[in-house]
Amino acid sequence: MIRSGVHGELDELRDLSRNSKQFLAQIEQRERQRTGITSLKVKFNSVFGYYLEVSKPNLHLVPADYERKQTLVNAERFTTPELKEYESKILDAQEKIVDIERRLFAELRSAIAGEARRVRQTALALAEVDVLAALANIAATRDYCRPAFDDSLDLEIIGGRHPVIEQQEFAASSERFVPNDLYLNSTTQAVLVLTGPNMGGKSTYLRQAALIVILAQMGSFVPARSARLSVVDRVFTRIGASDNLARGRSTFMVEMTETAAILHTATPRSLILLDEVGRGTSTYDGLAIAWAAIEYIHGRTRAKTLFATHYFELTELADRLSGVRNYHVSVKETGGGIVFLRKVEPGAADRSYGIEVAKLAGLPGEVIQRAREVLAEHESAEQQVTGHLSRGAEARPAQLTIFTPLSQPVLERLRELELDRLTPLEALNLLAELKKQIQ
Amino acid sequence: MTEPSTPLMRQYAAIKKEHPSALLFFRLGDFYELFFDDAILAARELQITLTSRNKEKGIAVPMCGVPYHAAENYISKLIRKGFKVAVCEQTEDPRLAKKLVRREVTRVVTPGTAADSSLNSEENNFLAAVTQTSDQAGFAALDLSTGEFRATEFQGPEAARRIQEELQQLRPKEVLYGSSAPLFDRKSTDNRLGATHAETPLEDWVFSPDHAIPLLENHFGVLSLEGFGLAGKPAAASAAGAILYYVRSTQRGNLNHVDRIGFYERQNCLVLDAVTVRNLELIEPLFSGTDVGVTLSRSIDVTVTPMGKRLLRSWILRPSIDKAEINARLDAVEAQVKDTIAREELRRVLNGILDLERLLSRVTLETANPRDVLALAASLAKLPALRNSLAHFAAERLKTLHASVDELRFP
Repeated sequence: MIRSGVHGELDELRDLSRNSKQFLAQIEQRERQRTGITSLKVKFNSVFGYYLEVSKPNLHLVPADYERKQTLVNAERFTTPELKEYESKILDAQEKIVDIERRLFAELRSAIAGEARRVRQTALALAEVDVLAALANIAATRDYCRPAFDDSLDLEIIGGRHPVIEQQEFAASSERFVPNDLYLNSTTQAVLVLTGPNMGGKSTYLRQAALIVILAQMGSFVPARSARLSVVDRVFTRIGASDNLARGRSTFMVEMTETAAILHTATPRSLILLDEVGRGTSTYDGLAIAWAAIEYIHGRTRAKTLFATHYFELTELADRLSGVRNYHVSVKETGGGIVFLRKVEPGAADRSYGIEVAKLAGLPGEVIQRAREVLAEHESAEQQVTGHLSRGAEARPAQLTIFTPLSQPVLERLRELELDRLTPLEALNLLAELKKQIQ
Repeated sequence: MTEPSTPLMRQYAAIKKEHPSALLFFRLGDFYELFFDDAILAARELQITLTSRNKEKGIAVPMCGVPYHAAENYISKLIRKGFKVAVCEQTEDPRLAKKLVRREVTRVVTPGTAADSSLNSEENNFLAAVTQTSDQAGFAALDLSTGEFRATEFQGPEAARRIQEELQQLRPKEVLYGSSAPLFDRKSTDNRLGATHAETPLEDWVFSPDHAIPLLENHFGVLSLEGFGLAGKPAAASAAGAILYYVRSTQRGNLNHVDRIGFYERQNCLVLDAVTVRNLELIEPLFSGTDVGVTLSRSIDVTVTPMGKRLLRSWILRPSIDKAEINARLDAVEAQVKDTIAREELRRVLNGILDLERLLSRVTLETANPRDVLALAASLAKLPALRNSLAHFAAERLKTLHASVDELRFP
């Protein structure tokens, strides 16, 4: 394992060992001539070392200086002082070679170890060169832009894309990824409530914002046309809950633990992504918690927040809180179906398109048809507001029912009623009738 | 175990007694042999044949063995499965030994101290230590295979949770802790994130600042830990000292490649908690079994060296919050975006460089074989070319890096 020319003694020993074959052949030749035994052979085994083998018919030709070592059925084995001396030289040499090689290698290793600091320093620098070159390569080949950092609390991304999904779609040469803008600040546009159908691109939009922030703060260019950013101190996410079920903890508990951690530690420099928070419990509890969480973030932590939800009711927050804005993922309705445009636009979604999504997912036509009927009945029955989440606010029409749903005809009757004209008996009768209606 | 009757088995029993928690690889000629329960376990885990040695007082001793030249493979298999292995060598020449050959354990390989070539090159292999006092908690982590060594500490009621977060992010393979200080209240230990590690209790004095701090100062050859930011951080230093103690007592070599330690604070980087790392699929896909192509790290990782791969991963998990640092990196990236030819040349040179950090660690741990040393040499030979191609760029950061790349011409 050590190259020749490095160590003089090692080279000599190797020559000795390498030339042994030739040397033994010489001895064999010479002894054949001397004794006239043409079948004489020089051999080696691990028990006796080197020996001369003479076959039985030739034994009478063996000279006196041969020393007998072993007798076989049809041959005898001999040695000579010369052969003995040579044998010990060769075996010795081989052992020494191993020793010297081992020693030289250990010396080399410890010499390198002595320079460990320099090697490590270089390795660290080299790692960074590699990463920077890789990021440059990505930036150049994927049309990324350099993000600009300022001292505001704003995040402004124009034409942002999701770095991973964009590549996957590119690789599959399917539809082109639809870029989206994002604007967040800590005052007038701190919390975006994002509504729209499932599969419409809400989650992608949320993740893309976080990934762009992370890439930028790593020192990478970002997948966008332009990006003006401020330094974010923490990114929090609460996305989905589906796969935690399998791990044995209640989804809702997991969700609330994580949400609690977010509410406790977020700062105005943080970015929070909440996707369908509250889904793990009953509709009303979930909605109430989501509502309260947004109020808290808006009022207390002022962290920049993207909140994707299918609770339409939450879009009402935009009218009440100055920093909350509604956005929706756009959908185009075609005859009987929908097309996802994946464009994020200002304003609340007009409806959830759950049934259309179900249809795209391949639910049987009969189920879809029946779902439409049920939805129509339900919507007409729940046109009125009866409960309100915010304290002391006036009831307003055209808002979805949150708590106990009263039927619309009952409400109509009550509203039109002129109490002054009712006799006590009439009032009692009316009460009985209304009661009957709502049962 | 019955009372051993032969001198050899008496020697074995004495050595095994010192390493009760490790599988003892006992060198007998050209083989490493395992006996008793070790043999039964190793035979099962390694799928090798279980035999038995000469009957000890009529009871056969279970035994299995592996040839010495193939041992590293078997050892790393056991380590990956979370076991510890004590390697016992013949420490005198059998030809010179008068009676029984002297044998000693020369190293103990544990999940947290593995540095062999079968480690995943994209990941760090951390050994962590945790120490807790009433209101302080210290945390340290060392990747013995690369030399990366860092420590931090936390105060107050949140300390235990912070340490959990560190463990979840670094995913150490092994955690050291004081034997009288249970690692955590196990009920609160949240294993949802699937982090698994071996746990190794050490005696409490190993963690005492009086022991740990001088040990560190001595190793780094400094009078105070101030230069590493560890002065006045007794909890962090104690955890780090315990790691150093443990590594020294289990490994050969002088640990020259562990040449620095850094104090760090989570607040010094963009904090991504474990849930967020998962949700955003930064490193691993959300649903196991999904193609890893969905992760950010896989999507943007076009680095060409193992060191670069590990650093990229650490940048993804710990983005900067220092605007000057971010801009310095962006300047360096921009310079390379603008000069395609120089960038391609640079990447071409980098491409031939092997895992310097891990090759170096095997050299200083005295486990490097000639092939490792040749690989190291071949990689170092590329450094002059690397410096040349780095010299093309004017960005400040790349100039600094150019200066840090040593051509490493050995005297």
